[in-house]
Amino acid sequence: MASQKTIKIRVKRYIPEKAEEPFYSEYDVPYSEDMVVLDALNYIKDNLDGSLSFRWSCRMGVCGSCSANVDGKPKLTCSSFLKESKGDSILVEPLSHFRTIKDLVVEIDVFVKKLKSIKPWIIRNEEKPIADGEYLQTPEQRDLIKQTSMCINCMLCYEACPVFDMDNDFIGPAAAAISYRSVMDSRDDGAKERLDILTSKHGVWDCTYIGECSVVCPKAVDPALAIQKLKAMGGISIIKSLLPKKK
Amino acid sequence: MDKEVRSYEYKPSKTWWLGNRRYALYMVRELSGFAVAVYGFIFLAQLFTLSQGPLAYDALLGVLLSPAGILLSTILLVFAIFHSLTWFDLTAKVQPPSMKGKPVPRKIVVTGTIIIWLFISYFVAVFIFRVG
Ligand code: SF4
Ligand code: FES
Repeated sequence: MASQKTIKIRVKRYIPEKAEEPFYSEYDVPYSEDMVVLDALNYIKDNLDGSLSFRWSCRMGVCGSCSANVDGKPKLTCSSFLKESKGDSILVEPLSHFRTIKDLVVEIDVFVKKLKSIKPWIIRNEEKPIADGEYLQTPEQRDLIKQTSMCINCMLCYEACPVFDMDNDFIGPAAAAISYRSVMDSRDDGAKERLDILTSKHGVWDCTYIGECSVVCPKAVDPALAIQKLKAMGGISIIKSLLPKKK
Repeated sequence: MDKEVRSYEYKPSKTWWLGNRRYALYMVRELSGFAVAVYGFIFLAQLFTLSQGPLAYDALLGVLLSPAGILLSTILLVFAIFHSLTWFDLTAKVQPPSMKGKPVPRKIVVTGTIIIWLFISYFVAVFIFRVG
């Protein structure tokens, strides 16, 4: 029997009980064309080193929990094939713009707080009685929010954003994109309230349009574009509020 | 359970922007904003010396037309052009005009705005050199 081809997986580890600083561990993993980085990590966990920690759930690019840096690029490990890697080893590191708790597991509170702050639910001036049925949308109205509705909260865009790295309070790409989605939603009445939050301190104005967030986004949400549109809307809303009110 | 979770924070390196083409371009774009500001400053200085009379204006013009002045202007021009191009690119993304309900492809918008820009620049140049 021909010996099975293997690939070296280098993982950046952090085990606070063991060492103050992160270190690297190397593993030889059986290689096959259809394997993704997450498969390799699971192979390591099951067969080589049970202490390796990482997050995952759906294994199909839907839950957004398996984010890491693969060969230096922010990616979903469940959607990165081993065969995409050029060298004979693959480097897997945690997202560096978030604090590491253990190995590839990072502290996500900072993002969850942002998500909460933008009120990612429908705001209505008046709720209609349940008996009156759903809030319907036309296909055109739905198209306006389709792209930004695809966000899976994987936080890869935050990893790509140097502004967020410098200032953790910056609202950042995904939260802004999700808020843009709400502003554009035909069923939502909270546009003014949302724009006020988004154009306050640490809001969309802090974005310097580097655009790397949209490059790394695995769902083609284009958060950079959403932020620029919010800037335009926010600007108009500020000008409007300065104009004399109609009686 | 009030034991604090220990965690590790990575510090950004000073050279973070060198590892990625987009980050590097961004740094150049920010720098080009500074060049545009210097341009504006020179323009204001010209207006000011103009108000001080022909002698003061000619003195400034002498500085601007010296080899060092021309070199500075050339560098500023390159940065200003780069800065303008990034703006056209951005405009095409943020507010793509639509024709018959369909958005106009980005490349066409960018090329179109650049052509209009060159066209206007040509007339401005003709006007300045005719008058001057
Ligand atoms: S915008 Fe894209 S990269 Fe950012 S969290 Fe959503 S899906 Fe992930
Ligand atoms: S495991 Fe769900 S997105 Fe990767």
